[in-house]
Amino acid sequence: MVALAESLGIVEKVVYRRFQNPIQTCRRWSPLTGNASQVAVFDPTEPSALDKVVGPVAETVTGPYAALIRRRSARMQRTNMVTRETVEAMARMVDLNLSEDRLEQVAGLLNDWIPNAADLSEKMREPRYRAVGPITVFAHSTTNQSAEWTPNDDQF
Amino acid sequence: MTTSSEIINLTLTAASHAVHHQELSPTELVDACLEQIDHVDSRLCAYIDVYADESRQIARAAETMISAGHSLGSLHGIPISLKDNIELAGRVTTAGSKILKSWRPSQDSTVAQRLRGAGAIILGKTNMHEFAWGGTSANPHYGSVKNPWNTNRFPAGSSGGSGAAVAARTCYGALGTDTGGSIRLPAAINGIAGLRPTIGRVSNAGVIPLAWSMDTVGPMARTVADCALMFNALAGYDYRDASSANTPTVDYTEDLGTGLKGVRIGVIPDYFFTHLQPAVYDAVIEALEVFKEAGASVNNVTAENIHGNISAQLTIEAAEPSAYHQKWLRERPNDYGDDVRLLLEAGEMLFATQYVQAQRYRALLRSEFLEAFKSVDVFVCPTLPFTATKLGATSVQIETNHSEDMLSAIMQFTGVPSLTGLPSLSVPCGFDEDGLPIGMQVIGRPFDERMLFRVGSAYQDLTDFHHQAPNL
Repeated sequence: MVALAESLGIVEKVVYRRFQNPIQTCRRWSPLTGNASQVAVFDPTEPSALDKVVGPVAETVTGPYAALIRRRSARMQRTNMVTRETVEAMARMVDLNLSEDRLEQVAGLLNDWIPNAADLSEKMREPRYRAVGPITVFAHSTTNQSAEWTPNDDQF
Repeated sequence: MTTSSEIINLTLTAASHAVHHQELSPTELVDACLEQIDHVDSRLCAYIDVYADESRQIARAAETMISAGHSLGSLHGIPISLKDNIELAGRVTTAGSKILKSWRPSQDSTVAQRLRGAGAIILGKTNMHEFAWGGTSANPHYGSVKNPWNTNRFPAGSSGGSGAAVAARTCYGALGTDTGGSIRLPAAINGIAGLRPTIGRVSNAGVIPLAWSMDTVGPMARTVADCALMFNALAGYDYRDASSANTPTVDYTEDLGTGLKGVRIGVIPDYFFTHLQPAVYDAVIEALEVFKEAGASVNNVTAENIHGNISAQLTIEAAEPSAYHQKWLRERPNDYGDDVRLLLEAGEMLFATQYVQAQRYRALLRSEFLEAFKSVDVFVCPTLPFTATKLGATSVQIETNHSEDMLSAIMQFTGVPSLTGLPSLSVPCGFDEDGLPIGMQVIGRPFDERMLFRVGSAYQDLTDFHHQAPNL
């Protein structure tokens, strides 16, 4: 079992703290011993950066992890952005009557959802995905649907 | 003489064989199932309604037919249960809600028609998470479903009643619905097999929706072969469902028993093997060893865009139900359970652009998987990263000393097929140290459910997890 796990490169594993976020806290964890060590922050969209510990957020960042740090900074600004008052205003706009206690609960949930949705939006607005449109059903049974792939941004 | 206990422990395939060879009658099957429901359901709360008299009447008719040499199909005389969001004409269909507690549809769902057309006897309706919006099957209106392996543990959901009903041997198969994992999760947690089909392969007509763009209906049964037999009856185009795929069906049992030689299995270590309980990790790695020994190859695959799938799933799964429930949420908010009401309220406040970006992400992720399917035949991964939690838990501990929100934790591995529309089969692959079942997912190409049944049944030919029964 260990041999197969090693051949697949999954003996030492990264444990995602908030796996759906672009910036995540993780730990190296061995499933065989259950030991965890080495706290790090990394960008899961860049697996090569798994071992990289990212330093404090700076106003201006250059270098290979600049995009990651910029996104981390943007994400921090989105943290706890939804307040009771925000929910109250939005509920008015959608004609939904929410009591005081519900405003707090909805705000709490949206503070989990909206930053993640915003992160995904940020990913999807990258130029290389410009030609990707939503498709929810399969029109035919072949797997040869590479036409769905987006042309490189250089083509625009 | 065959005892009731022996009858309920037959697989669907064996029961069908026994009926067609007149070794057992449909009446004996129905009586054994009803007796088992009487014996266990006060503890499990798996059923919302049981049609005892009607089932017995239909069983007698089925018995008359079979003794005259007539069979309606491979499910002739087999007791099957339906999740209670699947409509039956004239029968109350609650979707696990107070809002629909007295609603009687005027028409059968297509899947119910097809099961009956193949000879199945609809035994009753199973309990579920309210309106299928949740993964625990803790239902405030009809009682929380319990796990037959340990009644202090949850059965997962939303098709928790179907999962518990099959595992507890109260029926030979059941239908579930799966939007973000609602067939596969209870299948894994209750130690049975369950298939989420390709979107469009099985009709959703007459099924109360959760999220239209991700909803599917599929079989849940003790074995993979049983699921394939049910799927033969269910699959196919339906003009009543606008998203139904008009592509040819096949005999889904055809490749059962053909082994694994030459099958290429893909794994994605960077995602599916990084955050899970050690017992789950061990069980799935062991399963990969079984596949290799049986002649399959196991290949490492990367999926650059896989991260983000939870967010996309939550965004879509929050927005679409909130659209469906808008009227009731304004007129009868107190008739919802607390958890579902909160999800529906929050779902109203997501941004339209975020919803569309999530739908675009689906296309991106799907393209990546379709590309990967040029070099592998199926993917194998855990169905979920943990085993059954305590009843009523709203968070889960996957790592020591770290709690996570149940909703996003439970669907972190099932989200990929849900978003991409690919078919996915959950198969039992072990037990943890507390004797709780573990499941793995086999994910396939669009409309290639036959390959999933081949891989899953080959695994079950080599293992015996599916033969173990809860002690009730």
